[in-house]
Amino acid sequence: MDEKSLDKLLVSGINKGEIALELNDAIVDSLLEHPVGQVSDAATARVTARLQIRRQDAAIARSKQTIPDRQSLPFGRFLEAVREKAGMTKSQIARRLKKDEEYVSRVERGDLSPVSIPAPDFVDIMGLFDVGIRSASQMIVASTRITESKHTYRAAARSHGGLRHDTRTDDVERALDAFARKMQKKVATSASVPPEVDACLKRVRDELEKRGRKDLLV
Amino acid sequence: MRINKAGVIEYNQPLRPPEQTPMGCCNGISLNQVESATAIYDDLNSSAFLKELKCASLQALEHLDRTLTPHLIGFLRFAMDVPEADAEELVSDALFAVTSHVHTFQPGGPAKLTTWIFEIAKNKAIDFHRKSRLDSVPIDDKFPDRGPAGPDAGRNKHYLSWLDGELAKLGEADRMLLLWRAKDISYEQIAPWLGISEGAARTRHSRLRAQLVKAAEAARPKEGESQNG
Repeated sequence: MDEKSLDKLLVSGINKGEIALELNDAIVDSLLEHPVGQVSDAATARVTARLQIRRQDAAIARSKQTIPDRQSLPFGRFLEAVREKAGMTKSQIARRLKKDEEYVSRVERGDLSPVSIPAPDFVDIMGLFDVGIRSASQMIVASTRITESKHTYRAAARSHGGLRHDTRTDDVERALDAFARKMQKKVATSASVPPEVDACLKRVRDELEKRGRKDLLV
Repeated sequence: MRINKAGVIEYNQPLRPPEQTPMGCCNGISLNQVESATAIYDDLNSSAFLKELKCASLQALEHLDRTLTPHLIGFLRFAMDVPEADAEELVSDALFAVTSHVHTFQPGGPAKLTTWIFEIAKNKAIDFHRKSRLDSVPIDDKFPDRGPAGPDAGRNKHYLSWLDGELAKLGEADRMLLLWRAKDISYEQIAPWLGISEGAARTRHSRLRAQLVKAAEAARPKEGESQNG
């Protein structure tokens, strides 16, 4: 055995974990100060992009567990609650959905009703938030009923000198949603699903099947 | 919730959290605050930054990713001999593992946070090599390693076991010098770790290698001896 072979044997042993390569603070500080070899910016960007997605998915999964009584939440408000608890911005959600920030705002506020979102876009949202069809359908129903109630409240508010739509802030809209949701719980709701929700769910199911997302068909 | 005299609904708690604070458990130091600190790596090892990580703050995690990723890729590629594409995957796995295991990290323990993360990356590389068996190439013409099924199966293992024993007899500094030089880390970089000059590190390394080569010849299995025994 010569010295070159000895080095190869050492490398082999280290790589297999049979010879312990010790790392301590001094060594790591030195490796951080004087990096071993050149790493391209593209490689770093690939890894950080991949990690960002994994971390966001994990944060969404964790925050979903903390939303109570989510079946009765309107779809948009559920997305908003999850996003905020996950520490994500609207723009981060928009990037993941390949949409703009305004789109996310409109979905969250319910200005864009879930039944009017095209099935491919709706399935993208379900995929990002890992929401199955059953939960989604309950939230769409809640959205539809709350939207109806909100129309009534808005009309009543306008006739009593209330705010116009374009001057209402997010907080007012959110309060209106919460109030409508509370009132919905008080009145006996029929079990039937509105026909437009049924049609929307059928389109969503077809899209999920087309994409092979059996995991979301539950 | 109540309605005040002016007919306005008042909420006991604000409807929106004051900041984008994930899971509501952190102080939520902003990315700008982290980046404006004097020394980036000291920040990663500060208790304030650790607290953010333990709260799974996305901002803190993304800062950690951006700062450490190039160093970890370099370490795995050039010091742990992991191919480029695999090194990227392993770094992603290692940094992601930080999220789920950071609560077990104790500040003030035997290692800094950055050292702990490098250790995770190193272990990922070792697992990778074990799985891919990339090291089944011959070490030496005299001691061919033809893989586990070949007639010389076990010879490499025999020498590794012998070498591990010899390394255990050496002092920590000598062992470190041999191992990191084998990984092509320069004398210039290793010498300060050992508190010696570059020239002294070079001389000491040369002496150690010569000593081990001589010992290896003496330990070489004789013809006809069992290689596995």
